[in-house]
Amino acid sequence: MPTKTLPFTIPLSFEAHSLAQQYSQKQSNPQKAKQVYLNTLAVYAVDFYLRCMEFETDWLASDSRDPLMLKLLDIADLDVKQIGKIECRPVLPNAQSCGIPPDVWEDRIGYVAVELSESLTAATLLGFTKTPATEISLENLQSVDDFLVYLNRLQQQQPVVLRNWLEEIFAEGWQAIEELLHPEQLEPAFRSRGITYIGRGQQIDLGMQRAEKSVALVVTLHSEEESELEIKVQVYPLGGETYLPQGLKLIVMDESKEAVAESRDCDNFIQLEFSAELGEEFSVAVVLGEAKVTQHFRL
Amino acid sequence: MEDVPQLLLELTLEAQRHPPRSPNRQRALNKLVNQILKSNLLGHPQKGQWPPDTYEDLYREALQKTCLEICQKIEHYKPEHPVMAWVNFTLKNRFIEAVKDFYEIQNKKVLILSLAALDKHLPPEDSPSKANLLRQFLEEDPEDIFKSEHIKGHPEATFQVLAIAKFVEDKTWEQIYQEFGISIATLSSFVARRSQKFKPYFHKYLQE
Repeated sequence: MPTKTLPFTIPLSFEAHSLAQQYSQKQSNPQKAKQVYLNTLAVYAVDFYLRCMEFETDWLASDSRDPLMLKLLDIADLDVKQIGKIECRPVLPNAQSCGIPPDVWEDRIGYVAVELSESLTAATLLGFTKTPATEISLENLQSVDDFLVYLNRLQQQQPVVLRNWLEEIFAEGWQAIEELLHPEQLEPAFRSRGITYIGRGQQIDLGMQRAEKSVALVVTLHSEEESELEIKVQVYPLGGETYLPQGLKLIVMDESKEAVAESRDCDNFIQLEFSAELGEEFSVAVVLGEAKVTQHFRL
Repeated sequence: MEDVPQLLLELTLEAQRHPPRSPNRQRALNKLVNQILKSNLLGHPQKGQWPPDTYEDLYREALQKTCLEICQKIEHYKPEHPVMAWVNFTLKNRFIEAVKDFYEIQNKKVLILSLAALDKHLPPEDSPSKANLLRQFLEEDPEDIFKSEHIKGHPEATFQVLAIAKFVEDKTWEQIYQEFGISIATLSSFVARRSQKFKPYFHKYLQE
């Protein structure tokens, strides 16, 4: 049975109201001021919730923090780094639907409905929709769980820029291999060769709940020439396991071809090696039964 | 009766076990915060030292910041101590900060308005002279930018005309649709995207 996690109720206090007041007072009429006040509380709540869920937001760069844009359009947007712009619409207590003004029908990856309490001291995320409509019934919203999954999927579609690794710039979630793997796992693959490499790894959860398996996806770069890089992609077991689950597949794809490695009975790791030129893109998928995690890369 | 401290410990360890932003971790963090908020194990720092209303506001602020810190620093939790000891320690510190912020914000005369009170505290209508600034700018269009862009196939529907209708005359999308016979989706998309594009131009001439 899929469990729905009710998002928690977000307390709103003077920080939220201070911002709401600051932006609403710059408006030219009372209706507009009220709209901006409620919009600001809605964005505040979503920004807070997403930061709790470890997303990086950039509210200051959003139009909802630009008094001039607020004056022109009915806006409650929030930029989520590396993912896109979401719109946070306030819903009053006991309302049956959430309004989305035509002002914000473009350039959003989704719309989140935020219920505000009568006292305006609490906010609850009700759900979201990807496609805007003048009014959307609250019953038709997708769950907040689905919203988080959707954001994560969008983020995975953003390519990891491997060129940055050569300058020691690593995106969040990519750990040093020594931190990720058990020392014994490092032996055969990393210590035997005398060449320099740049490698990072990421924990990947395959499947949900009880049937889950965590593995490490490790990407290692080795460069002999400026323009071309040798790339090694590996999957290791995590959580003290010695062997990978049998039948786990590692797939590397680019525009024209696909390479697959599959774990057998007692594999400590599986890997694929290839070379790529600067600017090239490829995807790596780790598949176990129904579960599949894909990550895109660009050199 | 469920064993709340044990449940909190399990949820915290569960969150730690999964990589940031994985569904399992987010689910565990959600449940953890929910459990913390509804448990009766939360401390009440500085209680009795403040008038009840002020205390409630301070407490809510501190609690909110505590939730954020718990989620973002879940890795810092060490299982030697009960989860609530860690939470309440954080709450105590965030409360001290909330008090500081409160003094700062008091100077700005910030009120925590309820929905009912909000209506009584809204700023009045702008004076005509101030409202005219925007109209004047849109009409004069000193760099001839607003008049040069129009909806494809509708030379009469320039950004200038539509912006005056929407931003100055406060017409609804429906009214503009009636006037021009162009769909609301097309109108609003054009106006929103061009407003975005012309943002620096607006800022250059209308800086407050």
